[in-house]
Amino acid sequence: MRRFWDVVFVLTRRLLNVRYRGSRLGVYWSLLNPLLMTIVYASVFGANFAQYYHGSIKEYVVNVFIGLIVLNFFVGATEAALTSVVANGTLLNKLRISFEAFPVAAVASFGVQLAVGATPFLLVLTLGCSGRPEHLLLLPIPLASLALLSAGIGFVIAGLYVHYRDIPYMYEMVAFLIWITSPVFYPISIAPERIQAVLKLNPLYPILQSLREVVLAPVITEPYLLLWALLTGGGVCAVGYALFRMMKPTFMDML
Amino acid sequence: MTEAVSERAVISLSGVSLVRRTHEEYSHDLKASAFAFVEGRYRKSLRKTVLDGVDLDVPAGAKVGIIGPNGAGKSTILKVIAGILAPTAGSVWTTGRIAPLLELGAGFEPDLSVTENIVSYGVLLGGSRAETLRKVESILAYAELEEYRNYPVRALSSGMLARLGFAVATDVDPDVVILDEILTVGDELFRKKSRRRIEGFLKRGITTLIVSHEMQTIRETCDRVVWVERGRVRLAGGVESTIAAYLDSIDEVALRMVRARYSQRLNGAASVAD
Repeated sequence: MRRFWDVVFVLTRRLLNVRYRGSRLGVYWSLLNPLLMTIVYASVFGANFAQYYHGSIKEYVVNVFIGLIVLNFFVGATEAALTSVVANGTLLNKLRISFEAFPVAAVASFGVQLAVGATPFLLVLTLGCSGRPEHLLLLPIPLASLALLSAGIGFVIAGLYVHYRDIPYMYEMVAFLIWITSPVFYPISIAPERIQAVLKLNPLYPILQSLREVVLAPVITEPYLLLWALLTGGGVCAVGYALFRMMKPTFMDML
Repeated sequence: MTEAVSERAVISLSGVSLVRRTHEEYSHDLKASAFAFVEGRYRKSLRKTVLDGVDLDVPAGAKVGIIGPNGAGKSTILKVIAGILAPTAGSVWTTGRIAPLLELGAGFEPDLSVTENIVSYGVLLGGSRAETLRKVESILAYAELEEYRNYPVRALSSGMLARLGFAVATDVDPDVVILDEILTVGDELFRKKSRRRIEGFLKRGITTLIVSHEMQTIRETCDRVVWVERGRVRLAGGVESTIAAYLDSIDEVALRMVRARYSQRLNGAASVAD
């Protein structure tokens, strides 16, 4: 167990070092995209959508920013996990390393990026918007759920990719579907009731909504969202891990 | 005797078989596989038996040489013992710390610094992070790369790279050493140094497994030999007797080939004469 996390640590460090080439400020590049996109969405939709956010463009902006952080993390981490096992095929043929360490490290590298890059913003926003310091204690719940969910999906697609090399094209499509059906820049209430029920099946939905409540709402009106987020994350992670272990025995023949 | 041996064995393979998919049969496409399945053309991928019921007991302190023709499964046996490949059937039992000195330097990340690579390679080889961090200086010193500690690995020459890989992989206190040929790396000076280190392992009575095509190497280093052919142990025993049997079989094969060609030519001449 100790060894597993040592390996994950080393692999995560390698990923981060390669991604940022040693410049520590590189992490902040990852914030450039959500900040720019937030400006774009606020300019295009802000005036119209503010009515769904108590008439406040500021609230809309924070909602969009949080949505983008969550979605960028999910898509980035799962796509990194997708290729992680195959990309290290040569390594696995020469050294004894547990397969699980690769998708976990891929997600962990995005976790570090989130912790260093976006979390300070989330802390400040929570204090400024909800005005409730105790909400800071709730922040880790949706964020941990997000990491667990990404790891679970990451396990499944990383394992499938070992066998089927056309998975990236399909996953690109799936990721886009998940992106567009997540209420990132639109309020879910603009969809018809029946469609809303379907949209809420998206595993990212409880994570997005509970994170927004923790950051923005002075009173948490839907506490079950936090539980729902955690259960979804934990459940998907457990199922993904189990499937990965089932696929594992044939990996070495395909690498 | 066999009982005493298995009691002290540090490595024990019993009935180890390994069946692998052959590389040509990759159906690398989910779409294609799905359509094939729907059209009822789905078939199981072709498989090849690489190891077929291998039994091997290595007592503590033994120096085992593995010989056999190319593709016999020698390196595969080493990989199974090193835990890189899991057997399809049978059981592998090992104890103590195994240092597989196979293809050194796999896992270097060209963009990262030498120090950083020492730590990550050390951990990937099986060391703990704390332990590897402590050893960075001694590894740098042994590889004679102190001045290059902050250089990215891609800036090193291939000889330096080999020295670095060797230094990290051998800076351990193993119970078992696994070698694919006696390896010595670098320039003439470093070659001597690396040979001394390998010989140090051998002299300290560390259990050693070595695959080699050099019978001279096997004679010098081993106290028992296993002859592997077509994924099976053909013969195991004393150094001289096993090597002799192996070389005889090669001579026989060579002789048979010469005879076959000769008789073919004779037949050909006969048919022309007709």
